[in-house]
Amino acid sequence: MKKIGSICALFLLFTMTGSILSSSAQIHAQDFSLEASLSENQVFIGEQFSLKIEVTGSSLQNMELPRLPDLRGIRILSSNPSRGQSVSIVNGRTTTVTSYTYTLIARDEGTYRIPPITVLINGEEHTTNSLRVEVIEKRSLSDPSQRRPDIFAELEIDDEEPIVGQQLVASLVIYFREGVEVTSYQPSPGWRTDGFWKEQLENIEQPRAESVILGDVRYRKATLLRYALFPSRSGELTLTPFELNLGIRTQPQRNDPFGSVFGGLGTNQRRVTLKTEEVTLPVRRVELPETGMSIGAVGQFEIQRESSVTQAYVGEAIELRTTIKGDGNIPLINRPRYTFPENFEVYSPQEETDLNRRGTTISGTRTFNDRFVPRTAGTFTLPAEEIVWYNPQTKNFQSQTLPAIEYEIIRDPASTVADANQEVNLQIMTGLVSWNNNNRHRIPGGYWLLLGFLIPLIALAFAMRQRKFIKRLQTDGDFARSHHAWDKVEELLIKADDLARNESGYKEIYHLIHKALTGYITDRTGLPGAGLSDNRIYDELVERTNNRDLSGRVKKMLDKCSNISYAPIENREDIEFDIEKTRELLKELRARL
Amino acid sequence: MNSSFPTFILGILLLVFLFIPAPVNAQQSQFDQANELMQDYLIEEAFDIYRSIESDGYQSGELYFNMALAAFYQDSLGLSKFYLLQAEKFDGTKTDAQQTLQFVNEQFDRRSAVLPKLPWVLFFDWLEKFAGQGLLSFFGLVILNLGVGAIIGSWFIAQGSVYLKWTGYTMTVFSLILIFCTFYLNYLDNRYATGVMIENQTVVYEHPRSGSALISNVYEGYTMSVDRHRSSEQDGWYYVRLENGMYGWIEDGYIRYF
Repeated sequence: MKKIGSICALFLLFTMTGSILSSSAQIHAQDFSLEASLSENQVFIGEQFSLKIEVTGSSLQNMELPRLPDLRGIRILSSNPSRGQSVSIVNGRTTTVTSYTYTLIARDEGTYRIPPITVLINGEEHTTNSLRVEVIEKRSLSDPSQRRPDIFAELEIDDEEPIVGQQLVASLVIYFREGVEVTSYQPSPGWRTDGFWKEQLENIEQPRAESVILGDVRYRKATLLRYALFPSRSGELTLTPFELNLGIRTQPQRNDPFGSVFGGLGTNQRRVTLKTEEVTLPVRRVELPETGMSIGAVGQFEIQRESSVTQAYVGEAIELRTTIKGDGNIPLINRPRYTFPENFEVYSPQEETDLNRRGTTISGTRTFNDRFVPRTAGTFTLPAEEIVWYNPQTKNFQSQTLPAIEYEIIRDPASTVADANQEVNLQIMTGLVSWNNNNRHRIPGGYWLLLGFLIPLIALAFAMRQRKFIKRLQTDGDFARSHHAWDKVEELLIKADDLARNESGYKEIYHLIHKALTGYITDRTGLPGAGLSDNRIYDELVERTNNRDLSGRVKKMLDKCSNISYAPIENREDIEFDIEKTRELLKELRARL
Repeated sequence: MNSSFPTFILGILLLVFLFIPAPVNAQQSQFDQANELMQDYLIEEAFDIYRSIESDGYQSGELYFNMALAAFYQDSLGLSKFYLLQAEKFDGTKTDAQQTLQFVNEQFDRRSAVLPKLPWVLFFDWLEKFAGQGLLSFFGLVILNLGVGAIIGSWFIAQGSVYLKWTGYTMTVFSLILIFCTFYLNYLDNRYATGVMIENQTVVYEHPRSGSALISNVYEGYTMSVDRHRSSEQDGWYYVRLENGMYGWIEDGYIRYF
């Protein structure tokens, strides 16, 4: 165990030492750069230009002169180059730049290639990059109108026939002749780009001037600003002139007598306003392919689609992230509209755009977050989608197929859904259920309702009638006599019956019969209770009943009662017969009065 | 003859016991079967059984609650709300239904602006929920009878007749108010229904035709009052009052009401 440990430590030591040494050797070997450049890429025949070879590094111990190869159409004025060296120390690191400059002169018209130049550095041969130079014959311009001004601006578009959505780079370029120096620039506001979506690109470096020949005149050219333009519709779209304020400094002309006087130390400083020409671009729309989902993208892209989870509970939120990364109309790309399963509740998606404006084009990432919640358990598939976009470099449509995603949705065993404030039980209700018709909120049936109203109504009506009757009995004497007449008769006849049963006071019995008959008739007819003769009662009875027979029988009984004092004593049966006869008479009277 | 009579009676009673509870057992067993299907996640099949129980005229808070859950799992939140509002009316399921209703309401993307109800509307709503028409009418009739009895008593009983009379008048007036409220609630119940929007979106028109002016957009879960009387005048259209106080016509097929 101990032995193995010591072997491992030794191996580690060797490995670390080896790796340190090899890495330092690589640094040592690659710690310089070699570069060749020409002062002009286009020269006239007979014009001088220079070739510069620069070696930049921190550990240049030994370096020999570059060996120039034979050059066609170009002559080397001096084989001894001028040598320059500069040393800079940044953060304790010393960098030495050694340059060798050869003066060349163009001899023959044509385009020539300067092959790689070999330099021996630290004993090793290294070669530069090859260069290209065009030698042209200088011709005099006969037409003065073709002469360009000493300084002018142009808006250069990288594609003259774009399609809708394609990224164009519009470069604001100024051209100025030798002797003109641009000291500052300020773009004027108000550049209109109707029909385009515009983004200004951020310049990483300061504008650098390069030499060009325009119409046999040498100019220097510098790109000041760059814009990314995205046509949003088809047709003829126009970019209005771009206005630019420049501060320039010019060398005085030799024949200008005031140049040295007003120019200040031999220069003229002034401000000029430049304006580019109006640019019209024919923008066309391309036909979409029949298959695939178009998202309006134009450029070079990579598309990814990934889901936050593929196994989830019912009700759990799932996020589907679609990332579109590349170079093109990133901000104008539409959201891919996927076909979600029906049982997914889809919420409003979120979109994010991360743009990189540095460099010569717009690049970046556009992200779409689709959020959805599965509402039922099961296995669901988000189908594969073929996303298509137009690639302006290949002038063709390009596509990428996003693979299908399968979701397995299960129900949460707890069967609860969390809420922000509470937990809601979403479990079904089981067991014995009380089945009712929920009649608590309904009026009971018609019979009950009718009964409930009728009982008090009938009772009320009956009570009112009774109340009225009692009141009349109390206030109306005739009515009370009439009402109680029969009761009095009954009382008198019962008394007569008792006397007859005891066989005593037969005169009293007939007196009671007389009283019962006359009392009943006067009570019922409202006649005075006393002082009326039997004849008067008879007459009143005939008038009221219109029945002479009944009235006659009553009269006969009344006469018998009046004359009984003079008649012999009757037996009990006769008396009872008279009582019964009186009762019958009274019943008849009751019916008629 | 005498010995066969008790046997006959016993047979009749047996038949009564066998056949009268049979429908009750039938819907309970159907309900249990549907619940088992729900637990096996066979939502559609369970929902069909619940619907058949409901169409047979049986009601229960548990039935409506489970129907609401089935609709919820079928991603029909509007329908779920419709059943939860019905489950809320039953005492046994009131609390659960209210909690779930609150949760379901929070799932809707859009919610309607709600105009505050007028005081008397609130009063009658409270009366309907607190007592209901049945209880109100029962108490109304009982108090009416007692009041009339007290008035009659005051006519014939001399002792304390004044107190009896005024007690009778008070009870009668109170009972008549109760009975009026009952009939008004019954009128409201018969004329107006509670409707719930069950589709994603539709439009409320000023008149019952598609080309008329638009009053408002309505979305799933919106509740509204459906005027049965006016709706019966136009086939395929419902006259509704939205919670924001707007009136208009909605085409058939977008709402459910009870």
